[in-house]
Amino acid sequence: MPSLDMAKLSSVLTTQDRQEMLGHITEAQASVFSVGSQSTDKAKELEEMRTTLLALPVIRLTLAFEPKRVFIEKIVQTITAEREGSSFVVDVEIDPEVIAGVMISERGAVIDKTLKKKLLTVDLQPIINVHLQTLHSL
Amino acid sequence: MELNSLLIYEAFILAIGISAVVAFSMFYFRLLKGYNQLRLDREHLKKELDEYSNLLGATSREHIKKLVDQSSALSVELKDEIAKLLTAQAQKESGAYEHVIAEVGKELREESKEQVAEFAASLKAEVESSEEDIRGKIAKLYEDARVEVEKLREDAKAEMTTQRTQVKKELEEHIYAIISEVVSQTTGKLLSKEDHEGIVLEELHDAFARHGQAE
Repeated sequence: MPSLDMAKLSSVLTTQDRQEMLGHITEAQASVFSVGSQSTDKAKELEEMRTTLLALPVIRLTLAFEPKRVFIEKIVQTITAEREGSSFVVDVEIDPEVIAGVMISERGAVIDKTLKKKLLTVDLQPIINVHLQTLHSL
Repeated sequence: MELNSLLIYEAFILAIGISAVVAFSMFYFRLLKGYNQLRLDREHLKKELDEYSNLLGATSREHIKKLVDQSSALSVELKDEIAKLLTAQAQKESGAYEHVIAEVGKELREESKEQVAEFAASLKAEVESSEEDIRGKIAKLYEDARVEVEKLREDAKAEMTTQRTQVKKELEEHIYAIISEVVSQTTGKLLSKEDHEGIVLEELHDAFARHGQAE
């Protein structure tokens, strides 16, 4: 079992990472109670880590492809730079129908930056009118 | 002495007794004689009575027969007379009845004429008012039909508008689906992994730069 401290939290990028970390914390907490005088400080630290992890906001990203770990790190870096260093975890969902781009949702709010959305916003009315006129003339 | 008295007394009694018997016998014989006489008289009377009654009967029977014959003749005459009277009476009455019937018939005819005239007048008035009603009803029916037709026309127009909107919407969705499919099959395959990653990072930068955190 890896040693746990607050520094390790920086390695938590995704919700999956968070689940794994919480699992480790639970194991560490179980073993701490059997150790001697340092157990109280350690237990507090572990509990603090747990609380911090659970409080992290989740940013859900929908992508058209399965990203590698390296790309996820780049995503987190990009978002962190825009959010002035505030902590968060990402939850990646795969949906090929978005075609390309990304859909972002956080706390119920959604920003759709997918190619699918862009196609839907194309003004098809003139094209449809032409086709309707053709239908009427039949 | 006493014996003499007794004998005298007995002789006296005997004499009385004998006298009584004799008197009684004489009385009886007289009575019997009188009775026989009476009987004879009675029989004689009876005979005379029978003869008389026979004579009377015969006389009365003839008389009655005569009376009956006379009464028969009379009754026939009477019957004829009564019949004539009755006939005359009947004729007189029938004449009267006929007259009454004629009068009544005349009155009835006049009355029925009046009633028929009244009925015709009321019928005419009813027909005229019915005509008015019918004209009114027809006008109302026309109006109702016109309103109904107008309503149907409006409903049809609304239905057509709804249908047109629905068809347009379905057409749009269909077109979007086709375009998405075409684009995803072409663009998705044309884009490389690096292109995809580049687009994602670019869009993330754009989204968070504009919105801060997602709102």
